[in-house]
Amino acid sequence: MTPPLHHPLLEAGDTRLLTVDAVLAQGDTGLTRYRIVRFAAYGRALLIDGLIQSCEFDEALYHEMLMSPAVALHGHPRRIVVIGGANGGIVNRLQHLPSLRGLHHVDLDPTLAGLCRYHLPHLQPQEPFSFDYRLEFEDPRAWLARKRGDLGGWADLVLLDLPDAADTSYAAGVFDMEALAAAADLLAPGGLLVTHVGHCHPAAISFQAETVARLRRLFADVVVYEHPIPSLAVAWGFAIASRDRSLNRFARAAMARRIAALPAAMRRHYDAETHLALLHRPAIVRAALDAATPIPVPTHPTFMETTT
Amino acid sequence: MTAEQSRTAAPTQAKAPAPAPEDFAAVQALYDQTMADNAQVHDLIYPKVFGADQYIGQFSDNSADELRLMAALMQVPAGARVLDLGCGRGLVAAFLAREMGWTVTGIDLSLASLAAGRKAGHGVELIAGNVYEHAFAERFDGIYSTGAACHFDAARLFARARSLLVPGGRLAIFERVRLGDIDAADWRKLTTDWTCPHVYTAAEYGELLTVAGFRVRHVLDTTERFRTWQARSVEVRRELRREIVAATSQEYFETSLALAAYEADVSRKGLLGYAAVIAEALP
Ligand SMILES: C[S@@+](CC[C@H](N)C(=O)[O-])C[C@H]1O[C@@H](n2cnc3c(N)ncnc32)[C@H](O)[C@@H]1O
Repeated sequence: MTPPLHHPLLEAGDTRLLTVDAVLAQGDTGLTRYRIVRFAAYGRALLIDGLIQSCEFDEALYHEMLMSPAVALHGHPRRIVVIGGANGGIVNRLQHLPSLRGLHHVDLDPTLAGLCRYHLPHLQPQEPFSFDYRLEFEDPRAWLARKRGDLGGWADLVLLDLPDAADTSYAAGVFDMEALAAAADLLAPGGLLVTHVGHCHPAAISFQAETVARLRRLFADVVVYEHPIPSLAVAWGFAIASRDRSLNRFARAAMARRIAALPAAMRRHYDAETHLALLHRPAIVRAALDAATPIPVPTHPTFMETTT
Repeated sequence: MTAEQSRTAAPTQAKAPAPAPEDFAAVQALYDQTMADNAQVHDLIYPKVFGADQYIGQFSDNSADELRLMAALMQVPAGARVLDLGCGRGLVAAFLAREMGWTVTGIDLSLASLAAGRKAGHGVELIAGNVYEHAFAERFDGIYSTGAACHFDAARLFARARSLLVPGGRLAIFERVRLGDIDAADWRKLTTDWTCPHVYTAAEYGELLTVAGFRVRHVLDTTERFRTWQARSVEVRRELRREIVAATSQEYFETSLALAAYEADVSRKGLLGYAAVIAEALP
């Protein structure tokens, strides 16, 4: 019998115990310490640096909440940059977008991506693609610095699907001001950047508070929303950011039509009613965010203040 | 959050007898006599088991994709010198030389297998000999062994592999592994009958690698698909009954079907699995 897995929920003092049916792979690629397991309750899961990235049971929920609102809000993204996410779950959904013409994808670790193709088939895209797909393996920070010239102003959507910015993770460096600014430079007029901003546990929300504060300094408008992810035991936060447009529309009824127009693969768990739920953040989370925000934030209107 | 907070306790070990002595005369007789005609039937069955694009002439229970993944996990660069330990016909060596850009040398005891490989003329160096005895001119950057480690006492094999590798070199073992408690009758069928001293768990391979001066880098469990391959090999034998009998004999067909069915059953019961263990030779 495989021993249960102790999964940290909070840095200090809250650890979950998850029953593991099988350890499918584990090791160290030199870039990533990984484990791929099958949980009794949640199916196959990838862990990086000991933290769950997604579980088979509700990966669709996580991945849709990350990308579908931004795709719906933009309406017809033709050119997309994806940073991270080569383990799967992103391209297998984006590939159903009729508007998509070009996709630049960068991730850190080709060895881990190969393992995921084998052991996480439910996350993998089906080739051939009807759009131009470029996948490169490189440190995303270096890639952003290198591509700033070539791809500056290119993307309708920049999508960050990175591991938690834990101390040991390369992802921490992609969430800093410099890398986020480089990612912002890839946006075409009207383009949107979207990222997860970590979990929404009110007892430990500083990463989310800091990341949102950075985004607000770099972008003209930012909306932040959340959805519970059962296998992660908490709600997860996401942010959409624009340099040049107000994101008021995010709170409007018109989104219902845009959501209904998404490919089916991008709205299994995302519909107009869920969209409205995303917008309502619990008072305890808002209070925790207010208390945690260390950087003074310029007063851009957020969705909470927006009237339709 | 730090990784140290995520941990698993040591798995409970399935019990097994100590490894029997290695017997390479018997191994050679197995491949050169008992199984000499097996290759032809193998080439008939396994394209249908793995799928035509996944069969490259391998005798191990791995698809081409699985072999490719094992090779990628070795993280040995193109141009490196790699040894295929127990290479059989050398077709995996030829495949990985192509896929990875490695310079691959294959070594095998079985003259019949090597002769079949040489006929194919696929451009890798094949050596006839016992890996313990052959004097290799240079050390290797990588060594892999697919479906051959079962014939070895792992402690001795890993010590020999360590001496053949440059510091930092990688060793990959892709082999059947023990998952549960195997009773005496099954143990004999799975070891003695196949001239295998032992059936190790992946954890035991890991421990013995550590003792031999390696650091385990990756453990890849392919048991789920191994069970599929085992079950398919029974189905396909039944489907190809007429062709197999024509190529061999009714008796051969019956014996090989019974053997395949037995192995599929042992795997289905959760006693046998399949895993790759990839380790780095410490300086
Ligand atoms: C099941 S076959 C696998 C062949 C090949 N790796 C493949 O996957 O197609 C195992 C091989 O290991 C070889 N072998 C066993 N002990 C050996 C030794 N001491 N030195 C060299 N080859 C050995 C056998 O002769 C046999 O061909």
